[in-house]
Amino acid sequence: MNDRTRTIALGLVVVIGIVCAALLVRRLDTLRPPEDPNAIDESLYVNGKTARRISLGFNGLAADWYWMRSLQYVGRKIINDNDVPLDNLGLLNLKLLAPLLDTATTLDPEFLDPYEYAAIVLPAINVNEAIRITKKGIDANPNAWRLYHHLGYIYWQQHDYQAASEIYGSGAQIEGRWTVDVALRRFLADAPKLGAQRLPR
Amino acid sequence: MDTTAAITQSTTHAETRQGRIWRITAIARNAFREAVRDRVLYNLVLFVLLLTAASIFIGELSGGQERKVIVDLGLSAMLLFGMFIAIFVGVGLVYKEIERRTIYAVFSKPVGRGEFLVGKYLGLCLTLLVNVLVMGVGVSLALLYVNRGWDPLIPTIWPAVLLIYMELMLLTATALLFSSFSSPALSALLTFMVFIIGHFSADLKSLANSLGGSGARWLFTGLYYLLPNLSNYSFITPAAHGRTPSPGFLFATALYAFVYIAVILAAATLVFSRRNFK
Repeated sequence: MNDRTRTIALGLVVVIGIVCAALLVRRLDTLRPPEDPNAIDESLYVNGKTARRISLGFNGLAADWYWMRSLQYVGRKIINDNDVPLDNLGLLNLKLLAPLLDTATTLDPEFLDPYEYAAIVLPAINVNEAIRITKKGIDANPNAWRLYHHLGYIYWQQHDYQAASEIYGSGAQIEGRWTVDVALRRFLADAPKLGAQRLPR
Repeated sequence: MDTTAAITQSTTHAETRQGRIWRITAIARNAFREAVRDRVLYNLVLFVLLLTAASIFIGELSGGQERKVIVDLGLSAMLLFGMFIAIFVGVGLVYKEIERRTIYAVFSKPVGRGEFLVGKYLGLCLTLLVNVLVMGVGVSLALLYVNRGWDPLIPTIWPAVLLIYMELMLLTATALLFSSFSSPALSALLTFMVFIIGHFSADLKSLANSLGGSGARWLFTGLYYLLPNLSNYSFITPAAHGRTPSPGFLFATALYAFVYIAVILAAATLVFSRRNFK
């Protein structure tokens, strides 16, 4: 066998091999048992603190991964269950969302988007977790006025007017707070008819 | 030009301080050339592909956080790729010369073993410098692309890049120390362990504080001060939020790296000068 023939033969082996492998993958896709629908909700192996400890300085990247995973988690559930209205995500059984967001924010405490996502999406699923994660965000980022705004709104919707007034009051003292001011004014307008006990001065 | 030929040129300045610098420079230049010839810089192609793909696709996945993700991904990849180069090239620096027996030709010239080690070390540091600089420019360009113009994060990533480079310099010195007395595989393993322990050093201190027995407390406190504290060089996450380290912090970390590298290279020279090549 001369060099040219050998080159052609080896080239053919590569091309035919790739085609065969692709065909086998297609066949395997049809043979694979259906995915366990509960697998998506499998508990996280590590909590936020452990993840931060073992991230070896890559905690920011790990936080991004958990953040994207939480977005994909909600998105996949919505796609799988077309009947659920977007304003009632509580029906989706998003039990992994709070741990995912908690881990993301423990890995990168300054990452504001997961806190905001928790404050907006989580109340319909687990309001206590929503409050806890948003408070955690305020503790780590005391100047993030948006978080005060979101937390005040959660309390407001929970009819805890005293807590809402205190949070709005604290948020209104931060620079760049205009939406908190707007929310506070709206809250003050609604509060008398809602029977608020104590309002911020 | 190989290491021996380069050194031959510089031996005319034997024994003077200038001659020593010439010899170290010749060895360093050669180590850099060797790394380039070994296609070490090919990792830059992979890095550019990674960043390009991230710039295009991350926007779809990250919910509007592509700038943060690009900085996190870019700087983490810089540290990871740099760590692999520092470990795998670093452990082979001395071993390859022994294996090819070129070390006999080098030491037949008036070259000190310390000069040889420092030259090799500086050559790899130069390779890593080129790496991190190109990668830093790559991250900046990715930010420019994603933001469709100037991004305020661009100047804030450079202090983090400098800290990554210092960490890589520490790792390279560690790899060189281990390779001066053990096999490449074992040296790579030990250096990787130092990288891991270096990022756990804060835990060593808290472990020491939580222990009741004074012996164990002394041991872990000793380890905390003895092992390199690499967690000081992790500034990737704050950089992604636009925060920069203070000049005082940068100066202190640079000083720590300088002192630690000096200690490691001195120890490596000590071990290496006792090695018998007969």
